Amino acid sequence: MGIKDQARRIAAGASVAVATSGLSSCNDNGAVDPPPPPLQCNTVNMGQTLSASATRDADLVDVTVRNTLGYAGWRVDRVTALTGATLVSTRLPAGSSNDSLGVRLRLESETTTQATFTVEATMIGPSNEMCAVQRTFVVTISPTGVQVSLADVDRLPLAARQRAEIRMGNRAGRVVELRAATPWLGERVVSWAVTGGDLDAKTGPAVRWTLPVTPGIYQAELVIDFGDEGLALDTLLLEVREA
Amino acid sequence: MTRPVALIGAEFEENLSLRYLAAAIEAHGFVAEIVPFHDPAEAGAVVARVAALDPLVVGISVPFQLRAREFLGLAQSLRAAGSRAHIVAGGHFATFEYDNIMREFPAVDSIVRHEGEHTLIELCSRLRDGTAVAGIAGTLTRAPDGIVDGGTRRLAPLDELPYPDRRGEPHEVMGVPASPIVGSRGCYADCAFCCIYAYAENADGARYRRRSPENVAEEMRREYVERGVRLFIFHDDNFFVPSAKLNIARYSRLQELLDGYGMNDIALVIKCRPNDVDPELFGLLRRMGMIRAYVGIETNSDEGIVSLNRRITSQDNRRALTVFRELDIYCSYNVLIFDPEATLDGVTRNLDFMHGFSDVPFNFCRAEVYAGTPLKQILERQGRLKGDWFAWGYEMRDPQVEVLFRIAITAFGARNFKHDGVANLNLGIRFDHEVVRHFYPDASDPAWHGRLVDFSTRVGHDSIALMREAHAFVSAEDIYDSARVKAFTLDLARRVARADLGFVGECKRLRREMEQRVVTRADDRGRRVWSRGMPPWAAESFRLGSSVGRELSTERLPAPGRLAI
Repeated sequence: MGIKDQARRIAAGASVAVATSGLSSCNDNGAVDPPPPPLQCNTVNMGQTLSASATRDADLVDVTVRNTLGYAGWRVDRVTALTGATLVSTRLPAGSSNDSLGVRLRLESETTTQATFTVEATMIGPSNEMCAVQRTFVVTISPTGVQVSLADVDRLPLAARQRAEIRMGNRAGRVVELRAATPWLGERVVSWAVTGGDLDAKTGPAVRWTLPVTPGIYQAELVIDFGDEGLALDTLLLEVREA
Repeated sequence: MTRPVALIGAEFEENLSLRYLAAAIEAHGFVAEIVPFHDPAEAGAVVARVAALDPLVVGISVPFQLRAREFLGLAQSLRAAGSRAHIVAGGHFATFEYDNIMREFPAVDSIVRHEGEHTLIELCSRLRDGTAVAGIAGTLTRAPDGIVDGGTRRLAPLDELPYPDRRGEPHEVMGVPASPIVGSRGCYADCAFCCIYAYAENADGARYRRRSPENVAEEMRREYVERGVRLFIFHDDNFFVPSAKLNIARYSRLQELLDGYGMNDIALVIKCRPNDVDPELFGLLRRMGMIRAYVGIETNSDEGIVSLNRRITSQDNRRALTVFRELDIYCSYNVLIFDPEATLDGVTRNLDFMHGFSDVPFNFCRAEVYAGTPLKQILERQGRLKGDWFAWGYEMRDPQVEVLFRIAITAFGARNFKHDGVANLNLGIRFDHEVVRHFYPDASDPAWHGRLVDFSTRVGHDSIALMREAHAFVSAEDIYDSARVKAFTLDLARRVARADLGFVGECKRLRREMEQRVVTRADDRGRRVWSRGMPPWAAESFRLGSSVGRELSTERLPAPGRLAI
C-alpha cells in the first residue's frame, strides 16, 4: 500500500485500527535527542550466580566454585589476588554451565583464619552473549570447619537491572496474543493486567487479550518478578478506533 | 567491473556517517550501496541483501555502543553465510574497542579508527588493486602474523570532503522535507562522560573542526533546490565556539549567503551548551529560522557539574533556558541526575531545576560509561567498573542514590526510554508544533500553543512528583529491605504507567487536532508547497508505518463489524 493509499484509509476512517501508541518517532525527524538507556550486562548475569563451598585437610583448602545459573555457561580467565594462602592448583571449567572451578589453596600458616582469592570469569549466555565479571571469595577457617563467602556482594535490592518486553503475536480481530520477552532465563514469575477487555490468563509467558469494542486507548501491563534478581515492567498501549 | 561497497548502518534518518563515506568512495570510482540495519530482526534480510551484492568491502558503522554487539554479530553472520568481502568496522565504539573486537569477532578483517572517509578510500583502492592492506594509516588490520596497526591518520579539512550522499527522498516532518546536516565535527568542551569529546580528542587533529559558512551554505542550497528541503536539522554536537562574537560573525555570514540564495523560508534545528546561549546570537538564529535548540543542561547539581567536568555553572543553566523563554524559542534538555558521585541533595537540586523549567520538554537518566571517555578511565582507576567492554556500569558512591536510581530505572523505563514513550512523545509533539508554527502559521495561535506547553508542563510535573516520592522513600526507609523496595518500585511503576496511559491519549488527541488545524487553517500555498500535493498527515502516516521498532509498529485490524471472533 502506497503512502497516499495509506493516508486515504486513515483520512476516510475506512478501517478501524488497533494501533500501538506511537506518534512521532524519536529517531526520524530531529524532534528529540533521546537519552541513553542504561548500558547493562545482564543478559547473562553479573556473576551473582557464582557460589562456592570448601573442604579443609590440614593446611590445604579445596574450594569448588559453581555457576548455579543452569542455562548459561562460564569461562574462568584466571584466579588472582590471593591473601592468606598460596595457590596450589586450579581446575578450570570446560565451558559448560555445570562445570565447576576447583581451587586448591595452601594456607600461609597454622594460625591463618582467613584467605581470599579473586576469580576473573566470563559469563556466557545461550546466544553466546558474554559478560566479564570479577568475584572475590573469602575463605574463613574456624574450629568447626571452613566456610566460603562472596566479598563485595551487591546487597542492595534490584541488583540486576532486568528487562521485560511485551511482544505482539498472532492477531485475530480484536484478539491479540501478547508474549513476555526477557533476556533473563532464570527463575521468574510473569503476570499480566489490562485496563480494558479480557485476558484469558493473568500469568504465564503468553496471553490472549480480547480488546473492548468501545473506541479508546487500552493498556496491557507485564510484570516480571525475578525474585532476588530484580523486577521489570513493560506496557503496551493499543487503540481501538471508530469505523 | 569492480564489486560494490556495502555500507551497513541505521538509517532511521539519513545516516550522515554512512553517506559521507558513500560520497567519498563514489568520488573515487566505487559504487556504494547503503544497507539499512535497524533492528536485530532484520539481520537475516541484511545478510541476504549483502550476499546478493557480493561486495568487495562491507563497512559496518558502529556508532551506538548500545547496539555494538548486534552490529558486530552481523559481521559473523555475513562470514558464516559465505561472504568473501573484506569486512571493516568503524565509528566511535570500534575506534576505542578495536583490540576486543579483533579478538572476539574474527569475521572483522579491519577496523577504521576515527573519521573514515580517506581511510576507506585507500582501503577499497588497495583491495580493488589487489595490493596489501596491512599498515594503512587509520586502520588495524588482521594479517597472518597478527594485527597490524597502521597508526593514526591526520584529520582532513572538512571543506575538502564531498557533500554526503543524498540518494532517496528526504524524510518529512508535517509534510516539510527535512535534511540532517553537520557544519562541524567534535566539540570544544571536555565533559567526562562524552564520547564525542573522547573520539575527537583521541584523533590526530583539532578537537573541534568546522566547515566554512560558504561550504555549508552551498550544501544547503543544493538540498533546497534539488530535493525541496526546507527544514535543516544540524547534528553538530555543538553548533558554537565559546565566543559570542565569533559565533555571531559566523552565522551572520551564513545568513548573508542563504539570503543571497533566496533561502528565507527555511527552518533550522541546532544543539548547544548552556554557556553559549547569548541573546544577540540566538536572536540572529531566530531570524534565520531556528525553531528548536537542544540544550545540554546535563546536570545542575554542584557535584555533577564538577564530576562530569561541565565547566559551567548552575547560573549558566538557568540563564540559558531563561533566554530561550524570553526569545520564545522552543528548546529541550536532558538531565543526568545520576552520576557516580551523585548525592540525594544533588538529585533534589536537579529535580528543583526541572520543576522550574518543566514547560520545556526534558528527560532524565544516568551518566553512562562510554568507550574511551574520561569517566571510564576514572571509574576504572577507582575499581568501580562493572560489566564488560560492551556495557560498563557502576554503582553510585551513595547507596541511597544507587537504590533511587534502581527504582527510577525500573519505574520510568518505559516513559523515558521507549521510542514511543511519553517523554519522546512530549518532545515530538512540541517539535511538530514548532514546524507547524513556522511553516503553517495560520494553523497555530497562542491559545493552542499554550495547550501544548501545558501538556509538557504536566508531563514534567508528574515525573518530578513521582521522583520526589522515590527520593523520600530512599531517604526515610531501609534501603536494604528488598521486599519493601520491590513493593514500592512496583507501585511506582504502575502509577507511572497509568499516568502514561492518560498522557498518550491526550497527546494523540492533540496530534490529531494539530493535523486538522493544518488541513483546515493553513493557506493553500502552505498545503501545496510543504506537503507536495499529499495531505499533511500522509508523511506522518508514512513515518508511523516505517517506524518498525519493536514497540513502534502500527497494526491495522479489521473493523469490529467485520470481525470473526
